Amino acid sequence: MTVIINKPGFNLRETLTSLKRKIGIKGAELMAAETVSDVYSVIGTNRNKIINGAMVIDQRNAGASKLISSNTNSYILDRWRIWVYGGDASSATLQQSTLSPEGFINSLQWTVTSADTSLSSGDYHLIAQYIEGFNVADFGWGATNAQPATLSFWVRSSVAGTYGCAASNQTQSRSYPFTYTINAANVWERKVIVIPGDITGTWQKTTSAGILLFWSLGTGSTYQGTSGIWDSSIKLTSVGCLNLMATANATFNITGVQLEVGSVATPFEHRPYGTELALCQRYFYSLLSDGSSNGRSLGITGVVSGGNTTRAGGFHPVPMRAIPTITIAGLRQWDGSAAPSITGISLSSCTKEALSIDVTGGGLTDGRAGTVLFQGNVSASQGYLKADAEL
Amino acid sequence: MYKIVFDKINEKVADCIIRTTDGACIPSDPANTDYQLYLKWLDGYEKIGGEWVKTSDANTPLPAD
Repeated sequence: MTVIINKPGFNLRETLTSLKRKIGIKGAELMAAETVSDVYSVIGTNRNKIINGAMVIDQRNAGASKLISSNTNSYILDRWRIWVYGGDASSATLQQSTLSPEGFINSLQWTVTSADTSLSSGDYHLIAQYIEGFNVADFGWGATNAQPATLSFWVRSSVAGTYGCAASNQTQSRSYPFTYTINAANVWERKVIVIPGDITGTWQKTTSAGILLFWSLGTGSTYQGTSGIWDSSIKLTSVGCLNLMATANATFNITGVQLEVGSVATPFEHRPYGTELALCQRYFYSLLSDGSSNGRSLGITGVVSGGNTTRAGGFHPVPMRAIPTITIAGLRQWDGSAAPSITGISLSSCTKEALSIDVTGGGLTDGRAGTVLFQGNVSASQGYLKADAEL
Repeated sequence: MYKIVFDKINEKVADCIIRTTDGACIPSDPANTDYQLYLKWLDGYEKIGGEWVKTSDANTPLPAD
């Protein structure tokens, strides 16, 4: 009896090619992973060098919108800096938004309020994040072993087209402009850009700004560079990118921003909210009034001395990057009897770890214990203490 | 504009400076970016666009109260 066996077609060339496919040093482990947890155990955690990449922390404005105009340099969401120069009468509204792609709950939204159809050469409109040198020291930039970095983010705009970004060092003597394309208006799209490591230049690796990342929404010719090439001056965008500021009421949303070492974009790393908040508080924190009529204790106590001055202190929520700048409003001091408003403030041996302030006002008795209180019932200007050690 | 602060407890000039535009108290920490801006201002510089521009020989803070 003759037995005939039919086997499915077999492409020997294709099979051999797949065997030669590069899998990298962790490729075998990744291919063997059977669950998402297995994958994360291989690629590790704390990959994302961006802080507040999911735009969930908004200590300064608690979701309220901020109108920005020309010559603005301020923070809206935590760690996200808005830089605008020139633009004459143009303006934009910045706000934490609930418009977000699947898997996220917030984004940073830029809305053009007054258009600028004709940019001057030195104008710029930027969203930026300055990353502390400690956090990107492993990139090795500025040396021959410089590693590539991969930037990924979700973006949505009412105006489709080519947009510009850039990375630069602190002294802005090295920059890498690049582009990405929004293919369709009002649709969330994920973008991935690999930035080759810079083997030259000076890149800070401790508490100063290590890498500056810019998203341009309209930048003049002075700061436009050739896409995909390291430049020895400051470029904030690439040549030929659109000017969102030219379109009144145009919107731009961004979230899920991740920068990681290597040339592969891994899934966005969702850190616990408390962890993300603590990371933000290294650079900024605020203590706010609870709105009650009698105010509430700030939790910083001290002693009255020197003629109606209370020297009070406490620990910062986390150690800060630098000794912070302190701004206060609507505070009172209380010695158990009098509770005068605070009319002056100075720092007394304040450190990166602890707050120590002298607050002055009238009517206190030297030698008594003193407490700093929020003036909680100030509806127009909620009492606060803000500590700022931003880059 | 900036203003010197007097430490009334220790009776000496405090180790910080007041920014008069918002009343912020800035420590004399070289790593603090507000203090870095103050030092530039002392030297007569202003940030115009992305560039530091020398607009005067030097600036002087207001005296303490």
